[in-house]
Amino acid sequence: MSGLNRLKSRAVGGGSEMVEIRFDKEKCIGALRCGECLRRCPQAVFRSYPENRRRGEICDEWYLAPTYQVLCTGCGICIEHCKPGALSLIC
Amino acid sequence: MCKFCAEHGAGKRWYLNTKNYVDEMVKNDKEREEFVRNFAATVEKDGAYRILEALTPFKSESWMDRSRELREWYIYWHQGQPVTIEETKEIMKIASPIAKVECLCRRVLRAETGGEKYCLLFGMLLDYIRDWPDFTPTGVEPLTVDEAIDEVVRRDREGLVHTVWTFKTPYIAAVCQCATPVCLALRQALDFGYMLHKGEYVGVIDTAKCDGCGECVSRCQFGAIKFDPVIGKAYIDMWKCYGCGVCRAVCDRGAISMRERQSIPELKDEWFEPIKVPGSGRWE
Ligand code: SF4
Ligand code: SF4
Ligand code: SF4
Ligand code: SF4
Repeated sequence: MSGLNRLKSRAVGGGSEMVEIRFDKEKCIGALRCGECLRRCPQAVFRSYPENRRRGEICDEWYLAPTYQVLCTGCGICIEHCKPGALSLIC
Repeated sequence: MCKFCAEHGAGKRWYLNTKNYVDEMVKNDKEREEFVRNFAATVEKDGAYRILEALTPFKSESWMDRSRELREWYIYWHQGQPVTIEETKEIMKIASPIAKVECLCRRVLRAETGGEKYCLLFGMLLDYIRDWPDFTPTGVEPLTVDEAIDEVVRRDREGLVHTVWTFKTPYIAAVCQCATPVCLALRQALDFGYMLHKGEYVGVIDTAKCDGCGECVSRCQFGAIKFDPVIGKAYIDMWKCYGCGVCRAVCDRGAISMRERQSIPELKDEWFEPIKVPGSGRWE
């Protein structure tokens, strides 16, 4: 948690330091089924996308990409709300 | 006149030129046909990673170059521009057939799956999109011209920005109803300076008519309207204004009007947000 606090303290201004969001595909219950991180992130850092989409079929596998992670302030809100613990921060 | 109108307008606004809506443009161009055909199959994942890749080396000198490349990529393939409600209604009369679908941006950015259909698609794109039910989870709803006009007027009152979209420029196959930060284009334009071209107009507030009610301030999706506490009236930062015109719908006093960008010498070549390095304070 100390790492997170350090991040919080320098969060003002947003995205000025390189913060890396790690996403664990195995643990995520699916971006469309859950989507907590997508909705909660104040910076809208994440994008979701379908994997193995097939013609004529509904795709059930939606994953995350931290596409706009340069804007991440390290606030930790996404991690707090991800129940399965699929997200982590590296600094 | 913007570059698009000069190249693709035939003397008019480029998005009011009927030539830019005809299916032959897709049939006669293999590259465009492929782009339209693959759009629904690949757009979310391709976009998520193309941009992540461009943004990753953000501390290196290549940031500016990569951002410029990305801007060029959008201009060539998938460029958007805000249009006023008057012009959006004209577009509804030109484009055919028209159908509405759920919003891709709201789904990929905020996991919205409420079934609300914000986006209008036209022409051959509709044929291809039907093959991907996952792209349009609650289906494709065909609209007549009158229904389409009612739809865009309703969205205008809700304060959503109308934007036209190319599928290999200048072929137009969509008009979206956008807001920040749920629209990929608006947020990418404001945060990084690409994907959305500024509009052909700029809003102006007549201070003599404005009574300072402040309704318009939160209406602007681009943060262009400010309130001046000294004179107690609102004003528009014309450098930030994208010319969408949606602020007019809330002004009971009729104080906001649109002026041609071309009539303002300082703004006539202002088409993009500057590309910036987040947090560094460096601007192009
Ligand atoms: S820590 Fe998570 S919620 Fe906070 S800005 Fe970064 S990605 Fe968004
Ligand atoms: S909050 Fe966690 S489980 Fe939910 S979509 Fe995000 S990463 Fe997946
Ligand atoms: S809505 Fe009209 S009257 Fe009210 S602050 Fe804006 S410009 Fe002035
Ligand atoms: S100020 Fe400009 S960008 Fe903002 S709502 Fe009005 S016309 Fe649109």
